[in-house]
Amino acid sequence: MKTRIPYLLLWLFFVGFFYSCKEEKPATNDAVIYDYQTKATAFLSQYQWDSAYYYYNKAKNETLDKKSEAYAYTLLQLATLQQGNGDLSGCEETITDALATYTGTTYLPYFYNLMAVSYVKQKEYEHALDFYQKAQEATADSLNKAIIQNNIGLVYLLNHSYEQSLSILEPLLTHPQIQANELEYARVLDNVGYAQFQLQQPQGIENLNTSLQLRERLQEPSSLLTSYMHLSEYHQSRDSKLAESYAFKAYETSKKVNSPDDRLEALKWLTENSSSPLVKDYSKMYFQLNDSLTTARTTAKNQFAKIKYDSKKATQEVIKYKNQNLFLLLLVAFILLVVVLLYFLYQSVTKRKLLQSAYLTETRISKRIHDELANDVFHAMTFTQTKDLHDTSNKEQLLDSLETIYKRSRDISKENSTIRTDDHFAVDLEQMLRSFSDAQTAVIIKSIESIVWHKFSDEKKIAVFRVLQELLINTKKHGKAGVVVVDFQNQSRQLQINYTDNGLGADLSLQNKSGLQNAENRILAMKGTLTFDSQPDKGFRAQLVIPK
Amino acid sequence: MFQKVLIAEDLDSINLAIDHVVKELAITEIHHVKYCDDALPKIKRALADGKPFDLLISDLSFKEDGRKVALASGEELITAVRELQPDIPVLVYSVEDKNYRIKSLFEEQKINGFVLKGRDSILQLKNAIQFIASSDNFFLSPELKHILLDKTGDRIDDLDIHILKHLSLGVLQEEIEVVFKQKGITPNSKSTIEKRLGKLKVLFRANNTVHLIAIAKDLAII
Repeated sequence: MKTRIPYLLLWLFFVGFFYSCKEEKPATNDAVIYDYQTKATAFLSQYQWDSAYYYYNKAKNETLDKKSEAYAYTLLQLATLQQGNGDLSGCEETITDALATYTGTTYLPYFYNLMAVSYVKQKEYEHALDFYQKAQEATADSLNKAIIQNNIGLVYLLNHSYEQSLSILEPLLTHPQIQANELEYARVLDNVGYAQFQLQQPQGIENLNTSLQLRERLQEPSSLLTSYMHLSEYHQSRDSKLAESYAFKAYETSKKVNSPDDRLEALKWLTENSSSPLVKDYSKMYFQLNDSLTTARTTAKNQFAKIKYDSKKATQEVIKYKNQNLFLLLLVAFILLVVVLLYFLYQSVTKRKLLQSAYLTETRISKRIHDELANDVFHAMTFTQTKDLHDTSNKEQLLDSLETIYKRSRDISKENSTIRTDDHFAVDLEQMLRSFSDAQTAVIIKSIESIVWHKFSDEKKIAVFRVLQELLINTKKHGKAGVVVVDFQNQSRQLQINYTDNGLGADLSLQNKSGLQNAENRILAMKGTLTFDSQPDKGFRAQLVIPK
Repeated sequence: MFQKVLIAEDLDSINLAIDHVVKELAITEIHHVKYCDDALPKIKRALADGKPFDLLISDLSFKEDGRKVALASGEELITAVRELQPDIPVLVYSVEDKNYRIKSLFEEQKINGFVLKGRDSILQLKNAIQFIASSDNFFLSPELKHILLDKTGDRIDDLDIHILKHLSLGVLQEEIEVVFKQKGITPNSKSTIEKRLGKLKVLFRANNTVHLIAIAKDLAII
């Protein structure tokens, strides 16, 4: 047993690992079941009932096809083992289970027979006879029919209906199949002899002895045991010495069979029939065995039940675990799918916003080039065609208007040029703000040093830069402000910039709104807010909030 | 006066103008490059021949025409040239008027002059070359002079707001020191408060303290 454990564990691991593959490959499963059955049979031949039971139970749990012959065979063996162990109700349960699913015919008579034996052991002879009847009907084999007939005879024998028993058993002695099978012939002969002995017929002892001779030749311990017991019983009232010797032989044989029930009975006979001083020892052994047997039986019954229950539970747990895994897998897959979908949705929305914002910027630049440059260039062209440029004042006028065009184009370029978002950003931003300071307007910057710019994304930095630039252009163009204050407030989760000037204020409904609208869109794209508060002659205020 | 000048400029019309100025100054050896990348071999060659350039005149922005370039801007060119010939004087001639960019040219690239392309730039360019040739100081177009003035004075902070607020609540200037000490606001010395108030009046273009408070109120900073 010990040497098998590592191999078994390895095997369990293997099964657990390839659990799902196994279902698709019943061929390998068959091999596994066959392996279990072979092991169980090996233990059976060594009379190691619990180990045999363990492997048959494993084979049972491995079998997926409940209608297969292999499954029925396994259940039959299990039921037989349960019966042998005295677990009669367990045996009946197994058989009932088997009969519920089994659709074949091969093992049917064996099941009925086993059921009948179980009832015999419980002394429920009526039920036993019913099942023997069924077993006989289920089999076509004449030897099997004859064997069952012998069992029926035994039922009457046990029920003390010796004459009826004899009338059933005697014809079997001439049955050709029985005659051909020495073991079965010996069995029938023994039963016949025992019935005759009970009926005080002289040929009884003759038949019992003939059967014993046959059995001693065959050396089949469990049948020998029966003969010894019967003979001991026969001699009990005739020759106590002989009775004692048979009882002793029965006791010795029972030890070989590993059948405690038989051993107990043999000991009982020995105790009752022995005159030797050993009788005290025998009776002591009898009581000890009886006690330990009761305990062992209860434990064994529980153990058998436990093996059955444990493996059932393990199977359920494997299924449960598998289901749980499957559920988790599905859940994870579902979440992933949702995340991916959301990501793509978010991407497409962002992309659309970006494209829209890029398009707006393009149209704005195009409009400015048209409004601020093209018209003036055209004007300058007409001027050169219509005026005498040799005249100094005309030449100066043309140069003036060309300078204006040049400055405007520079402004447009400046407002749309690249913004450095690296370490230069803070300096560049401050310089940009400062560049709007001139003789007319003072730009005052408050607490800009409190902002840690690298905590903001490049897009946010660009938005802040462009929006402030837009606000200042707006103030310069329309506001006629003396002072502009840009107040940076570093808040825990956001950056707030308060922009105020003391100029004319802007009428937000008028034409200059497009630049501010553009600024607002930039901030909204960063999930920030930009609010304006302005009335004519009361200055202009804006509050910009950008999350970190 | 300089003898050998390298001009990095991609527009022919502007090149013509520069040529005109340089010739007026009797500079004989003039080399042109239209890409920054082409400038370096010329500098190297001149150094190897023992006749290095006396002056580099460069634009900042160069048109991209699909050619793959290692040096894309004037700033990069100047940095690279200075590595080869650290003491070469550099004059930048550009439309760029972004003050921070110009400031960093003077501070980081240590250029010797900056002329803004504009109506008077031909004359300015001439002056700049003469100035750089005769002086260790740098040249900057007059319209950009304000850029290099120290303007950190236009920053205000919470202390300034505290001062303005207390004044607006009727606290006298002399009392502010005591009140600040009580409230644990620092710095709070009499001289600091006086200096701050002076700075604020200039910044907010206020004629007196009352005017300052009025402007601050209007701007809603207090």
